[in-house]
Amino acid sequence: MPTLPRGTRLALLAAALLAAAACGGDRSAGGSDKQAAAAEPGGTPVRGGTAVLVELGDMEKPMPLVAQAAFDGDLVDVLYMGLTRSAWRGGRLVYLTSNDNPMALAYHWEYVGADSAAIRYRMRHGLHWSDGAPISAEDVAWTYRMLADTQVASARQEDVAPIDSVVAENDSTVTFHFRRRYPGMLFASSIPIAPKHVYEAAGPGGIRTHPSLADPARGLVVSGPFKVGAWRRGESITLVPNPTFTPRPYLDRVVIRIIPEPTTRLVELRNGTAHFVRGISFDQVPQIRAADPGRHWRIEREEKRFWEYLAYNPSAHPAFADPRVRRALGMALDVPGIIRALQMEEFAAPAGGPYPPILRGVYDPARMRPLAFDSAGAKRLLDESGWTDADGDGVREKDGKPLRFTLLTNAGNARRADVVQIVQQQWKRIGVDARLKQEETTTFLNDVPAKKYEAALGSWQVALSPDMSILFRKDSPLNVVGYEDAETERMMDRALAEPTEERADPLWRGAAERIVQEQPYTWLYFYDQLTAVADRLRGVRVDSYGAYQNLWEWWIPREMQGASGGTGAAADTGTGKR
Amino acid sequence: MVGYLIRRILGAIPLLLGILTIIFFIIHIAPGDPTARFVNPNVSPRVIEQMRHNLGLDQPLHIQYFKWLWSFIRGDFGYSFGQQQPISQILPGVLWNTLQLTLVALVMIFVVGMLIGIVQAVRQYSVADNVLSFGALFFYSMPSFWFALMLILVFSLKINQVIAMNPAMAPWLGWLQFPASGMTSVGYEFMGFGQKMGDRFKHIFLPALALGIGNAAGVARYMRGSMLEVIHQDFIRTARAKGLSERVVIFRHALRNALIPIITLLGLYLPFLLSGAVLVETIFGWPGMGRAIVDAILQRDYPMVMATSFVIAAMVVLGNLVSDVLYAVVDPRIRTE
Repeated sequence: MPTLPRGTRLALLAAALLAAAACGGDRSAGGSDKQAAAAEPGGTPVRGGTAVLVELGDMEKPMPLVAQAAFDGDLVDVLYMGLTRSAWRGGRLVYLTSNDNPMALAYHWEYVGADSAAIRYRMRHGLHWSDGAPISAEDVAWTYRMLADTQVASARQEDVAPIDSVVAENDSTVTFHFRRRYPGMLFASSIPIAPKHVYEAAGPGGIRTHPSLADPARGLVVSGPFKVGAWRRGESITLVPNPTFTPRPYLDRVVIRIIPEPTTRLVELRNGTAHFVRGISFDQVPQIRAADPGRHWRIEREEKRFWEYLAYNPSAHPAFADPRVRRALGMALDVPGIIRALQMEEFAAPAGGPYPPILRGVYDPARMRPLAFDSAGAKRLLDESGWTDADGDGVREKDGKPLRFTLLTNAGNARRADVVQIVQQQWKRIGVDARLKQEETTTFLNDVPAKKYEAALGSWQVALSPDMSILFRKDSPLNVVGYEDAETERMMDRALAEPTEERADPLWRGAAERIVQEQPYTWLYFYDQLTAVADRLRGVRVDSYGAYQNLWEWWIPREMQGASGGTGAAADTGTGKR
Repeated sequence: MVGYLIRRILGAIPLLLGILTIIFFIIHIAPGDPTARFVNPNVSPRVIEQMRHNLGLDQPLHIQYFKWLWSFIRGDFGYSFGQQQPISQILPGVLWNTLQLTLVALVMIFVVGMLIGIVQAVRQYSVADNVLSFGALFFYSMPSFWFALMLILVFSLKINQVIAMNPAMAPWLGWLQFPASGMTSVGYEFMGFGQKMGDRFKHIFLPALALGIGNAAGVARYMRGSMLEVIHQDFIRTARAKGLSERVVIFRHALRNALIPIITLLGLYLPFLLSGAVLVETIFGWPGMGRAIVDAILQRDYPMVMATSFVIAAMVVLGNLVSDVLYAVVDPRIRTE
């Protein structure tokens, strides 16, 4: 599902980080990334070679101010540096300085002000944009002014809303003043920086239509390890090392090919003509493994960033207004059985609430345990709530209204098409008649938030943050299940007002527990996004944060660089290059 | 003839405007809008509203229509909501990509289709006729997406595997090995001219075959019927009676007359040249019009839908016109009328 550059308004920040932050000094929470590549099994990194990556769709505007689609967000992480570099370590989001990650502009940060509601960053000297212009604190201050400008209409506007001002104190010192102290201050100030000298003249309204974005290979000025070398619209993007970035990436070139068809992507992988293929479906994994018992490819996971749900709309069917009915519908489903049937055991885990296990600060397996499969219990609950099959037609009814509704999902998703059929059968056993309906995806994405559905199967992407208020606030357009509980809202408000995560997390857990009690959704499972990676590609780090986070550290052993290295001669003419 | 052409072209203008107006309102009435793909918990609804405002989607539909119409009349197709680029920069590229593919496919369709049709007609009821009829029907009935996938599996995956297991067979089987997707290989820009031509051919062959074979089978059926009609006529008997060789009778006398309905067919294939083929382009990762149109519709990229619709509608009108003109050119009876 397309999304923003990763992240959310409130980032997860460990208590230890904040405790350390109070003391100032050179810091990076979560440890060093410098040796990541060297730790890779398979030898010492060497330079050279071309990596061929495969994506499902093309880039649009890979620039921090206007990036919107998920792939643009991935590219922004490769092309631009931020003050700190976000990373996912040990179940939490951490912020690395240049001492630990070359993608960070700042070598030092510290909380300042009486209530620590400001952060001062000290930037490295001698950094340059790819056109040779120096990177300065003015670029940072301008970028944040533009992110907040409604004419620019950045998708990250909400992230910067708590920022009162960003002041460039000199060329290499910049201070962020926040309206109040809150846990996401580092996250909000880690957004990649855009070059002021390139876009300022266009004005806020002209940035989106700036010529450099129409021809990124010629005009895009970047700060990261790679720049766009060539763009064949809809076909491929070639990234080449940015000479002003240090250290130089190991790879000579990265060619990202656009292949929308899953079978073709798989063939390219099996032919050895692609080395990193996104969008692998769960049912393709056994095929990949069976075709290659020697394991020349591995499956990497962006772990548990999504939860698949069954949503119930209480305003569309009276049965859904009763929490006992919603609970019964969940209990009637054998979720582990569904996961097994669809060969997802390795990549999906039954879900019991809105927080997946990757969010260690708020995930509570005891209080958010998945509902146990219990058909008899489900029947009892339905009987108790007055939904009984009095006329013996196999469908329960109450006050003359049958427990019959439409279960909606989007077309074109084979997994969901299978899941709704299993759900339909399992509900039928307890006297519930679900009629299946598939809608074109854009229509589905319109109808669910508009509450034009009775029950729906869909999924939400999990933010790397505990803030779930957007899904459960009474007046939020994304509260698609019409959840309403004053106490839960109070707890979420209090959590958002807390200055640190160690104080906010218990409130989030409490709110989640209240929500789970009501079962506005049936949480089915958390699932991974899969990427197939050829063995020749080393140093690759894929985790919940993303797949391109350390592209400059990827490397190919010299003996495997083959014809695709050096001059870049054709790499897709045969097998045996792995 | 010139007056007739001008009348037809002028008549096409209100027709095109009518078509585009209907498409404009249909696509806007469809549920969802270009911001629907950003609906997820990481994007604030306020930001989505602002995107809608900036795209002008919060204005009344008739205002949006007149704004589009005014830009369109001035030759400005606008800005793609989906690809975030001016359409004037997107369209030439995708049109050229599609044209390369469809031109090769079109040549394949008519050359192969006509040759098969001629052989079938000349050898009516022979084994060759029956075998070719069966083959033509087989390919005509086959969905292009399935055929495309089979071509990839056989000529890319399986051949690759055979060569990997038996490298000694590479010289024999190498020419049957084709890439699974894309328009060129990685490293194309470093190739010499000859290599580039070979690489282009290798990449275009399978998609053109997938696109062309079913249509060629259709043309073969037309050609067979048309030829059969002609070769049983008196003037063909006269030609034979004059002692002309069979080759001259078939290719000079029969074929020219049998071509009339085929030429009409050629005109009707013109829209195909630029509309592309969604499934084949998607399967082979070919960035052409077919993919652009479907992506635009799925993303509710209204300006892109309107621009691509205009191209296709214009080609349909032009195709019909060309068809009529060609018909008059090859058939003096029509011209006289």
